[in-house]
Amino acid sequence: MQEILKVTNAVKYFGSGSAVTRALAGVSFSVQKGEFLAVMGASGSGKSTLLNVIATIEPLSGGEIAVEGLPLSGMREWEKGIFRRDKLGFVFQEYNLLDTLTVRENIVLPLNLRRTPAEKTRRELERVSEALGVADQLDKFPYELSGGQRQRAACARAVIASPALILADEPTGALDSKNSRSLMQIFRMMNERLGSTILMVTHDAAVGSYADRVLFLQDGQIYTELCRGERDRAAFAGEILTTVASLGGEGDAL
Amino acid sequence: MLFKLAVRNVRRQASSYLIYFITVTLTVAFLFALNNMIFSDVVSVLQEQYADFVRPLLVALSAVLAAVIAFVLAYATTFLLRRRKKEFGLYLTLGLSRGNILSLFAGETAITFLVSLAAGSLLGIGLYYGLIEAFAGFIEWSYDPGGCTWAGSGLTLLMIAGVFLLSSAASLGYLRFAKISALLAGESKVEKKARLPLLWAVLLVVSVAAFFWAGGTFLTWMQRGDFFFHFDEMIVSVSVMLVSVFVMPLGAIHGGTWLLLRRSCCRSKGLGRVTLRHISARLSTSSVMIGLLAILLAVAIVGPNVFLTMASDIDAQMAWFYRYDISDNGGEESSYEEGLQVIEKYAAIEDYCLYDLYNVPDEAEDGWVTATKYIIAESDFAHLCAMLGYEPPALNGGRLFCTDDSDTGEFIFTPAAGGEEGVVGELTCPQNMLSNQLVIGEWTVLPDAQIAQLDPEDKDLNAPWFAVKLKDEKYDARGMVEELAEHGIRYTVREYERLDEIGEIGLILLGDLFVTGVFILLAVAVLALKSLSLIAEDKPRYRVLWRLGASEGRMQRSLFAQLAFFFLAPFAVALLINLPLTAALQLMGEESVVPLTSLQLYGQLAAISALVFAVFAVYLVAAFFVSWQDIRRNIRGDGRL
Repeated sequence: MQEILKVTNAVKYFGSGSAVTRALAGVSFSVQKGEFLAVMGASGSGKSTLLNVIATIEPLSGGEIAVEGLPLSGMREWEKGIFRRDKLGFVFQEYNLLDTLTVRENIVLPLNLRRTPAEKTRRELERVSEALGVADQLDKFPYELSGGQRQRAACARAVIASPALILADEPTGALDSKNSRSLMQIFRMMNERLGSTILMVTHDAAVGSYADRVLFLQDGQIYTELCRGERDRAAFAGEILTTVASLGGEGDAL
Repeated sequence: MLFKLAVRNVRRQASSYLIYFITVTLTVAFLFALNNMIFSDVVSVLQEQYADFVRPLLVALSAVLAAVIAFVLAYATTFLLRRRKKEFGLYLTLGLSRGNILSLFAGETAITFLVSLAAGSLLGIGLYYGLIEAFAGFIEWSYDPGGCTWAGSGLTLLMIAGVFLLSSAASLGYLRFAKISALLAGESKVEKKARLPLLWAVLLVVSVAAFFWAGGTFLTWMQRGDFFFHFDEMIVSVSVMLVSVFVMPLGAIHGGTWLLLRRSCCRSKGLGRVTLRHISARLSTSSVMIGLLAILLAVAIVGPNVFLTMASDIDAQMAWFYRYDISDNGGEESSYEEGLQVIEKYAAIEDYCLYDLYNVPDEAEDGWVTATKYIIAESDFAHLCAMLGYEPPALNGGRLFCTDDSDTGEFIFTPAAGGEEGVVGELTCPQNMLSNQLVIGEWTVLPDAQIAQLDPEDKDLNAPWFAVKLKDEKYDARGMVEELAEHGIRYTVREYERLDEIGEIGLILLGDLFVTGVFILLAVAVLALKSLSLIAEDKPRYRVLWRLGASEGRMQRSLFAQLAFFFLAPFAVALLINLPLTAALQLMGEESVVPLTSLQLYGQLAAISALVFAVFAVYLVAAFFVSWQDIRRNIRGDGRL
């Protein structure tokens, strides 16, 4: 299997002098192509920091991260831009659709940034918008959509350029339980049908149970990891809840 | 507590208030200098006879400017408010009353106004002395400006207080009635899908066409000259032009961006689509503002063009209107010897001519006077011709009959030999060749022998007419006229008239300078404040783009394109308005002595526009850098996804 992401002894400090905070304290793991990984942990455990350093939004203080074998350390600012454009897809908690663009224009934005030919753009748009159930909403503006529809549009934008890795930061954070369930089914579909590799940060055990593997962070270090294997989702969710309880956190039932 | 909070807010919001502060400071400085100039002696010097009339007119101009400033600042204050809606909403949810919020915002703007008033007054003193000095140079007068006047300073204070009250009223009114939820939601204006974009595109084309049609109609109306009989045409054409000015930006926003978005090069590459959508979102909420700013700018640009046109041919006009350095008869009882003595104290005389004009009325059969014919002796006429550098025609015992050619404005001399009239040759010379400016129409040159036979009772005035050629070009003409007046002598002194004319143009320059300065300043300030306010809304959008991999270069280009379009849209419409205005200026100038060519007039327009553009460019670049730094901080500073 191809290794998409390799994180080796990642360390991240914030602040300086006596006010230094260690957010990541030597995190190592890897993600294989087509894998759906969830990162869980309590507030301040370092999960969002981990996502940010993988996304090149924050620089690493030590260690190494490589995506498709490409090391991120030493990249210049413009190279990071190209890396994000070509290798990553994002799904944010607050959707982060541009309210000045229509749904269609939002979805094809990553392709526009890559200067993809119009015909290919049209084909890709057709493919993902039908797969994600937003084909009927393409000419609307984000403010005309419900929260669930907006998040589906955001997923379509993340997946349209077939990035090596999709990063999702609390994607269900702004949704109710029904829409959260629906979105997670879409994530599974993206993973299984479209072959997307997904790294998702969440604090919700039920949401995490949709992943193939769950990584638990505590105080900037990997506490443990769980693999779903052949278990059904409910059993996996139960095991996640148990682990969360052992970490001292709380899980939400979906 | 509220006062302390207001002071802290102003300090915390220093970058937001900076452009506002600079604008108010410069505006105060302009008003301070203008009002002090109005109440200084310079107005009397510029227009001695009409000082009492001109001063209230300038005060009225200053008041109109203050009203425009109040309106524009009210608009600008709303941008400050928009940037901070959430903050005010939060204050309300924390339990502050509406009254507290109103006091807080009024306190903040009052602090800014007071600081601006102090800084602007200091700057205004410097500006006042600088302008007085420049003016003295322009009107060629050595002048001691003295100090600033109480009246001018007091008027400025009153006006600024009025401007503050008026400009705060709109924002305070909004804060008084806005719902907390609306405040907390902040400004989330989004671009709604343009309805009937094709119709808007057609409207864009129609409005441009209508503008030029109305401009053409206006020019035709001016060319025809029968202003009062077709006043309605003028009203219609000006109204159509005004409506077009407001429809054009709307058409460009809803139709123009739609057309561009249909082009694949604009919609599918890089940030082209994002840029167009942002421009569209910005302008759709600003089209009325763009129309108003375009009109302000059009006035700001046309003013200097009028001044330059008027100032371009002063010397030629003076040489045409006043053929001799000194002329006239000095008054019926005056003595030319005395006059010459006074003149020689100020300037060396090269030549002079004394001559009599005979006033011989033509009488109809019923005894009514039908016309007045002036008669001059051949020797006097030859002397006048020599002073002007003309070769006098030979009369050969006949007479020279001069008549006005209404087409060319010149006299045609028609010598008639042997008493019989007939064209034996032609000579043209200026209509006002005789030093008596009143002699227009027909006049006749007779041999000296025939003049001797005329009745002395028919002489035009007791004193002889007088024309003097001086050796000196520059001398104290004002002193000379004053001293001549002390002796009861009234001569037309060309240099004095020239200085008077410069004074008149100086008044126009004075008005022009302030209108242009204030309008341009306000326009760029509004655009800068508005763009900074809009950038505050755009920051999250740029953060998303950055995370999606848009390079900084691309985002910078997109931001610059948006700001440039936003800044240049009113500038472009103002230039468009100035095209027919410049053509109108050319029509008005056709009657002048040395009419300016189209090339010169449009060259002036281009030069003025280039200067205005330079001011715009400075504000545009400043707004771009401030905005980009803001965006950059935002996309890098917030590490959370």
